[in-house]
Order: sequence, then structure tokens, then C-alpha cells
Amino acid sequence: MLIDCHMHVRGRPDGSLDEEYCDRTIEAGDLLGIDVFCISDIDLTGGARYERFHQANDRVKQAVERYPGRYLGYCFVNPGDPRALDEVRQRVRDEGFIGVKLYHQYRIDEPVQEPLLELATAWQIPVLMHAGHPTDPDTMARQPRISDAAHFVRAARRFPEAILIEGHIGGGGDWEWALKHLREAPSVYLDTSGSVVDEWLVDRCVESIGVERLLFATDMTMEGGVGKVLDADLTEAQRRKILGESFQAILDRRAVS
Amino acid sequence: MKYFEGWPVVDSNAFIGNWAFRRLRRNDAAGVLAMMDAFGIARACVASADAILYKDSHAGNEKLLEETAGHRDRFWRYATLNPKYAGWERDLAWCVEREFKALRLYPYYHGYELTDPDLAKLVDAAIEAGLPISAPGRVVDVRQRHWMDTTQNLAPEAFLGLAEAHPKGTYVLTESIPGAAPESDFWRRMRDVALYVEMSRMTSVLGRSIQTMLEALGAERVLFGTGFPFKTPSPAFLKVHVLDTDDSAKRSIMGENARRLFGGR
Repeated sequence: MLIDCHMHVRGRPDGSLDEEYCDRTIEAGDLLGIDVFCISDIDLTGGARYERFHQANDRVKQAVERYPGRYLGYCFVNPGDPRALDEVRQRVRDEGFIGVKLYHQYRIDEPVQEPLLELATAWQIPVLMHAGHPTDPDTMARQPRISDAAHFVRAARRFPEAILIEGHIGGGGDWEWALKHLREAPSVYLDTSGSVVDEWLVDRCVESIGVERLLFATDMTMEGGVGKVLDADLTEAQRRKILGESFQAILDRRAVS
Repeated sequence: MKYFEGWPVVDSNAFIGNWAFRRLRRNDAAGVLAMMDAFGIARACVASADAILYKDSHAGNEKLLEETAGHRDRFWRYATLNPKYAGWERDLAWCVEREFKALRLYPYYHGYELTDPDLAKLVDAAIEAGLPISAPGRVVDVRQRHWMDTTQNLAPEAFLGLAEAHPKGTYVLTESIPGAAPESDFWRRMRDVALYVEMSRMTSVLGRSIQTMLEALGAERVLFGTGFPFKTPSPAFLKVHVLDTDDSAKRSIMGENARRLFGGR
């Protein structure tokens, strides 16, 4: 089973779910053999206020209901909002969301994240976070608080039992730099998504952090996401782990109470 | 993994050589040939990766010829030249004599704009010699650039402007995403020049930018390319494999257009 652990749905300008995009994603999954998409909706309008991320999570819920079994939802929050923790509790415990999605409002190792990471650790739910180590001035200026692998190493030392997923190794940062750091954080997972389809990328990930910690994802780069895993020099057993088994094992660890 | 078994596939966007900022593998002629055999690629149009950063790009052309000399039936060669460097006229003639199939430009690595008068001379000379003129939108994603690498990409509109300024030429834009809407003026202008687009950075699903290009420009202007060994091949293959068009259009993209473009020279 192929599980894309990092994908998105989106809203229309009026705030409703973009159902056409939602359907196109499923069609693409059918064409490319992706069985399950783990989705979030990152609405940054107005600085990721509670009303916005709550509405975004409503859209995720609608998408999951539209395609039960094909979509699983992450709860996106701005951890700086005082209602973030309650939003996660409600979505995960009462509505079946599988984990937490964080963007770059704060870095993963900042104190503001601690209540969320404590809850995620207690419930053994994954925390997927937008990440990268961009080296061009424009991207750095746009995302001054983006988390990189060094931040993940520090967060993992503080929360060694947390299931932290560093998003999109192919998302446009210096992936070689990231892999150097992630060797020091044996509890951190990494997803393969992003538009970068560098030859040798997936193989290098496996060489650096091992096959158990590498998770298949597209983050909307659909053909590239599938293709780069297919091309890596792996055994079929290793490929199956990356493509879905390892993330299924993460889902099976959940202990939500 | 052969996605188009039995089709005479042409990869219009491949490289041989080293890249100073990241270790590549399978980047010599043997490595590229092995990839071609594994994926069922009959021919590849290869440029010298070394030539991008050499002061004297033509030294990369010489090395490329040495590497590919024993495989004339599998490789077509791009001639990488810098119009700001000494002696390009003689180097272009050398490449033409040895049947290089197209000119390759790297404005943002070689330090000139597309409006540079020296470039105009090189482009006119290439047209006179019957060579298509190619350029990539980028070599690497600038978000992961080495600190000494460029921060600039080549905008499709800029390359289109070059083609409009020299309308007798034939042009190939690789590693780019012309993202304009189908009815936009951009595509009307594209139709008025002989400009081909290599599709490896575009998509057949979600954004469907390949379908937009097919609608606006026609399948006869689209070229298949992998970007190997910078990029891995399957993403580009999958984009055509899942493309919702007929086999005739796919055959054009996968090789017929490139054969028409490069094979006749």
C-alpha cells in the first residue's frame, strides 16, 4: 500500500473546500498507484489565526468524509495561538485526525511548541512540519523561522519519544546539509516529498538515516514523488517500507485517550 | 524500468561530466548509457556539465566529444559556448564540423543578458550554421544552491524574447515551466516562433501544465527530457505515461520531435 504522508487540500476564496482539487488529487493517486493521502490545509491568510486554521481543518474533515479511506487528516495549528492545543485535542480525539501539521510560524525547537509536543508524545501521534535549509536569499527572507534539521535534532533531544517528521527533503533546501544533521537524531523521520528530484537523493537519505525513518510523500509533486522512490537503488522490501509500511507502523502506534 | 517499450525514445535533456557543487553519479558516458538502456532510451542529447563552469566552455565540448566518440549511434551533442569568451567563432566552427547538433547557452553562469550584442552575434552564427539554440531555465533549484552558485533562473519570457529577436532560429527551452494560461499572449507569441519546450519540470496531474502547453502549442513542440544525471529519470517518464492524450501525441513528445529537430543535421 502506498501512503503519501505529506499532501494538501485547499480552500476556495469563499472559504469552502476546493472539491475539484480534492478530486484531482484522488485521480492522480489512481493513476500513480497512491492509495492513501495524509492531508492538511495550510491557510496562512491573516497570519494563521485561530479562525483560519480552524476553518482549514474543517475543510480537511470534509475531504476525509468525501473520500473515506483515501484521505487521512492532519490538524494544522499555529502553536502560538492559545487555542491551538484544544484544536488538536478536538480534531484528533473526537474527529479522527491522525496527527499535527506545523508550518513555519515558529521553529520546532522553540519553547512555544512544548505543550503540543508533550501532547503528541503522550498520544504517540506524528508531528509533520514544513522544513528545509534554503540557501538562497529570497526563500530565507520569506521564511525566517523555517525549521531545519539542526532544529529537529534539538527538539528530538528534548522530546526523544515524539514522532517528529521533517517535511520534504526535496522541498528546496540543502538536503545534503540536512542529512548530515539527521544522523544525530535517531528518532526523527524524514519525508521524501518536494519538487527536487535529484538523482541519488533517496539513496543518500537511506545511506544517512536508514530505510526505517524515510517516509514516502509528494507534497503535490506527484509524478516526481513516486518516480524518485522508484528509481532509488533499493530492495523491494526497503521500497515497501518507504512507500507505506513505515508510516502505517507510525499510525499503529497511536494511543489517543 | 522501460515505460515505453519498443518506442524510439529520445532524451533531449541529459548531461555528461562533473558538477562542481554536488557529487553526481553515473555521469560519464558509460553511466548515461547504462541509464538509457535501463529506461529504454534510444538516443540522448547530451551537454557537457563541466562546460557550465569552465572558464573556457569549449574545453567541455572537447571532453564531451572524447567521451561520446565511440557511441555516435546513441548520443547527440550540445555545443556549450560563451559569447563573452575569446574565440567562440572558431569553437563554434569546430563543433559544427564535428556534428554537434545544437548550441547550448547559460546566460546566468556566463555573465550576460539575453539582449547582449555579443550573444546576438553567436545566435546569428548558430542560425547560419543550422543549429538550434537551447538554454535551461535553471541547472539546479536555487533554493538549494551552493553559496558560490547563481541565484538567477532564466525566465521563459526572456528566452522567448531572444527567439523573437532572431526569428529565423529554432530554439529549445529545457528545465522550465512556462506557466501562462492557454489563452494568454505568451502562447500566441510562442506559436509565432520555432521554440520547443522540454517537459521534465512540468506536470500531467493537478496543475496539468503539460496539457496547457499541448493545448496552446501542440504536441509537436514538446520534447521529452530527463535532466539526468542531475535528476532521476522516472518522474519525466511518469509525466508522459499518465498524460491523458493519445499515443500519437505521446510518440511526438517521446522522440519524433527530437529526431526531426536534431536528427536531420
